[in-house]
Amino acid sequence: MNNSNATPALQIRDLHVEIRRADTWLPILRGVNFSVAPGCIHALVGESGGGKSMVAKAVTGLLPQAARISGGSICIDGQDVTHWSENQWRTLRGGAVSMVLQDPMTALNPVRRIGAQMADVLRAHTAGADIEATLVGLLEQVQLREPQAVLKAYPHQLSGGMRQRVVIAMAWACRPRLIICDEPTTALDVTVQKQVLRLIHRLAGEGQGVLLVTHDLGVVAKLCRSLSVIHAGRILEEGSVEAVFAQPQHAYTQALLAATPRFDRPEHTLVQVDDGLIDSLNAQARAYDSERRVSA
Amino acid sequence: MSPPLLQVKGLGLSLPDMAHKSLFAAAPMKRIFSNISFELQAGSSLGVIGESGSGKSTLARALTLIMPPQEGELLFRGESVLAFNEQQRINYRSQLQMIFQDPMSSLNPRRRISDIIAQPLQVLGQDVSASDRLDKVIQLLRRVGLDSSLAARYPHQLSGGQRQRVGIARALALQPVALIADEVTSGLDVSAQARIVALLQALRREEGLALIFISHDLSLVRSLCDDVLILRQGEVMEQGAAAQIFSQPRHAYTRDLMDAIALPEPDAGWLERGQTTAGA
Amino acid sequence: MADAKPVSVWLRLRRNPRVLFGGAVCLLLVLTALLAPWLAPQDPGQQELMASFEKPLLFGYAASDSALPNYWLGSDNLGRDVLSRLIHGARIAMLVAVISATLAALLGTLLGALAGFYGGRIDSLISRMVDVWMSFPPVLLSIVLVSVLGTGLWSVIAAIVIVDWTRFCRVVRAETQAQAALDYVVSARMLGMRSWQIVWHEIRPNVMPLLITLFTLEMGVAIVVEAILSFVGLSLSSGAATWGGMVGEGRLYVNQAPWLMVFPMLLMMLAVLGLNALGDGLRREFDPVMTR
Repeated sequence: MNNSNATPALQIRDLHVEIRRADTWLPILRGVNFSVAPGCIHALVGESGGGKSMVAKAVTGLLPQAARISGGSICIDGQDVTHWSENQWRTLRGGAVSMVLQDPMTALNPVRRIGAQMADVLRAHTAGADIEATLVGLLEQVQLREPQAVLKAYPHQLSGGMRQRVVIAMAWACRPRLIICDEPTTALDVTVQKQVLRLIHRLAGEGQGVLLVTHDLGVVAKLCRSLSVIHAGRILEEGSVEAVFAQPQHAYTQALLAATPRFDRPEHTLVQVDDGLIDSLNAQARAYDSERRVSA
Repeated sequence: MSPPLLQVKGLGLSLPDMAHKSLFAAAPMKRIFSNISFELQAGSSLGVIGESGSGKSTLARALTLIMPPQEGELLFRGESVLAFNEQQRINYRSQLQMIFQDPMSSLNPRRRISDIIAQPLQVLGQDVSASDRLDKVIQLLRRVGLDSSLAARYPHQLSGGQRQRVGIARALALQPVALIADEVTSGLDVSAQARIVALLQALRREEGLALIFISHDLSLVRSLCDDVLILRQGEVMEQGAAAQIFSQPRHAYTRDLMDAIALPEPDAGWLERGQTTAGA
Repeated sequence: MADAKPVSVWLRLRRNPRVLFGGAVCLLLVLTALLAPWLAPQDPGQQELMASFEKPLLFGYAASDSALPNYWLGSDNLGRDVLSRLIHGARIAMLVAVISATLAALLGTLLGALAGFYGGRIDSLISRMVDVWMSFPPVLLSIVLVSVLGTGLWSVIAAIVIVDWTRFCRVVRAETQAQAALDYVVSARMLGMRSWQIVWHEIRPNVMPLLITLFTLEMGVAIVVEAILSFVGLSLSSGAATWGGMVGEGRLYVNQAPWLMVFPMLLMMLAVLGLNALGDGLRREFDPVMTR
């Protein structure tokens, strides 16, 4: 989905990931293709088990031990990182690529002050002299009042929304090219969610590419410019948010939309996703696997 | 005319605040919720909306007497629950069953599904034989749309939505007249959520169950519930008929909650539309 | 509660390497302990001063006098057969291990469950007790206890139990507390189940896997503690053959006859390793939640 001619922040081509179970390799991602342009917020939408978390892990070099990339490529800001080693990834993480995770309580070290943790991130990737001033500036950018007090605080002394802002500040600290947000607002209260989404939107305007991994179609509609729908490791539909929401092409996308509760249509019964549809999608995935094995 | 199923008047609950306890004094009491009043008619549904810290889960526990309230009255079919003796309390609890939020912790991980669902039958000793119990378990599994083959499995072998449905099956075992669903759809995928909502609607329709649906999701509450109670920091902000409140919200907090709803429809201006009450 | 069919259980156990190794070691030890009088080629207390410091035949050394009985693992300074003494020592070790572990488990688990489930004052009381108890250096405490109680098997067992029950108590308390906070306990309470019923029926299955491992760990600890007590001469009456006693005596002759110290030490290591492996393996097999 390239709107400009600039190098995409993220480009995934034909990505295949397998995971080892007992004595065989099970396919998790089956030919995933999409890209995230700089300054664009792209959503990867799917349900649990669909593969979206695997994509997030692959793109940050955090695939579990038992998993491997068996085909395709991942390019971050034009650089092919598909077969990078841990050492190479370490130079990238926090710097050119960063993550905002669902639960800020686990993303932050509970026994260290906020200031110390943020300083670590900065020191690892920039040679900036005045760390303190930079940190205060960052916290102001994420609209935390009294940044000095926050820097001295421990994570448990802050509210959920404040913690998530800190995590976002840390993610944006080194002006990464690509930011992965994995369900960033799911654990937050609904009023706080809107503020955090607003924040992400504003920061993305500065030119980073954002990949939003979520199952919440409401968030996708309000925040993102484009989306890809994933199921059983395959991208079933993609396009701009306007186009897909107005006229979803794939039955699965339509099913997800029909099952999403709508405040403005209370009388509309939520349509359960048809088991038959899921079965047929799974069958298609298996067919894809056997074709691939035959042609390999 | 028969009295409403459940009547709550001025209910209040405080708990010792361990965070502010000094060494030798007793911990100061922290108010969790206060002055809550509502009525639940047989077969109707009440949505309790609140964010974290609103006291909504504690309210559920107060209604089921897990945490007895210090203030106010609680009447079941006109009788004061707080004055019940042991036997009456057991009876009350079997009539008003709760479904918990986290299916991973509300199902004993080392018990099979059939044992989990049969447990209420076993404990409240409705003198039935083991094979009758098993029949009832299969019946309940079918009622919630689960295959009977799941009876022999353990909770970790089921998906989140399936576990939640087991929780509902267990709640139905004693044939209650009312269900309290405490955030039963949070953390579930859209498809699993739709299934649970459909199940709850079917149960209300077919068995005339009353429902107290606790959630932070206004859209679900609007589609499921007749009446609504909005809580914030333990106080009632607004309450009344759902249709009324959602079409003409009076309190600023209600308006903020409605503002924050993200409908699955692209809307460029949504992010910038402001809010009145302070956030985090 | 429906159980898995016995056949499949045995098959699973046979396939787990930890259970195989640990189980084999334990079985060997238990059999040795039970059949000691028949297995030991000689009387462990029989002194044969003409045959002192015989080198172990098992390792290819020749006997100094062909008229002597076979000392497969050598003989000590008083001409006693090392192998026979080890076999009888196994009996003592196993007896102490099983009884101490059981008693410590019972005491520790009971108090730990009470503290973890009820909390409040009961918990404060029990936790303070544990804290004070654990502030004594354990080995010194057992030595003091045995000196006070006098030597003998039961003194040793009492010493181990009195010192080590806290190990069970702490772990069971923590796990019970964690489980008691979960919603399935709330659900059981709502049904009107009594506290002891909840602890026994609901919480116990979730704490059992830990207990299995702790039990075998405790058996290992008991063996080592018994050895320490023997080493300092505080275990059984000095005539009886104990592994620790053998190590203690062997220390004096380590240059002339290293086998006197080496064999009992190796055996102790094997026993403890085997017990730990068994405990770990059993926990993995019987815990339905553990995924491999």
